[in-house]
Amino acid sequence: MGNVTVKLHGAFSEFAGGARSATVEASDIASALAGLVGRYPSLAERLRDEHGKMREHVNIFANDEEMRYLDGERTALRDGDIVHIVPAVSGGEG
Amino acid sequence: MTRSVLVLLGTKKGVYVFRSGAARERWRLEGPYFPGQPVYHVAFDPRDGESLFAGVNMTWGGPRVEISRDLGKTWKPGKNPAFPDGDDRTFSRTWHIEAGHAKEPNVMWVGTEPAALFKSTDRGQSWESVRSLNDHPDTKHWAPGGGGLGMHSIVVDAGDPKSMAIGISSAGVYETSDGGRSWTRHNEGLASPVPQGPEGDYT
Repeated sequence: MGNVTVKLHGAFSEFAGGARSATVEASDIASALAGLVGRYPSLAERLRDEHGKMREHVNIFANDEEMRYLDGERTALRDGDIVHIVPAVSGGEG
Repeated sequence: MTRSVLVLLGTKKGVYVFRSGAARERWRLEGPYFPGQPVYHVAFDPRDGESLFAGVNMTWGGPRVEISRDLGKTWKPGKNPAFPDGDDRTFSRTWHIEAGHAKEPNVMWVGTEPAALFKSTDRGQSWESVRSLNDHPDTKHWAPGGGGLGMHSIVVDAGDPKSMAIGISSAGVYETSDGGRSWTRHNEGLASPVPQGPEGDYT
């Protein structure tokens, strides 16, 4: 377990009452998210549906890499790592 | 006597509230609340005269029901309606929010997509699935309309707290007269994917 900073971008900051980041003890992304939700319970239903599945259009990065290109929520974290939670951006005209 | 008038608009880009006096000569615009976020329905609770409810259906962050206790000045989300464990349906949108009967001041109802009815007994802070309807044998016939499989209408009988009706696209109209313990389909004369008779005929 190490100290991990979770940064909230865009609307996810608003869902946490305006908080932009939180430092939590975590060994992987799943435990980092659990620690974050423990700190900000209002994020629970914004990140996952009622069956615990991660919502669509939620991008989670471990440092500079999106977690789906790593080991998903089981991606290991070390002391000092940064997790970013970013709403997906799409649309516009080509 | 009417002292003021509110017009509540849920739009693809948030909630707008128009206020006017009884004469409706001038209107003041407030909002948008939740700018850029699709809102399918905004409801007023006439029993307390101060609560508003908004069904906010965001792509990221998921759907939520926002509650105001000061006619829109401030808002906080309640707990989401949720299908129980073991149910393969997932709450994806709020279509309709309705205040309960005047004799049940803490009761609220929401209609969702996929089509389901949820009841609150704490003024919208939390919701329970109405299993008698949501697990009705007819559900296997319910099919999405052009906008999805949504419960878009809830009507509470002002004369009887045990009586109400709901509408689903596309399944039709169901009514209860025992406070939601049982539901009767009333699709006479309507096109519906639900078989109407014992031979499975369609009207």
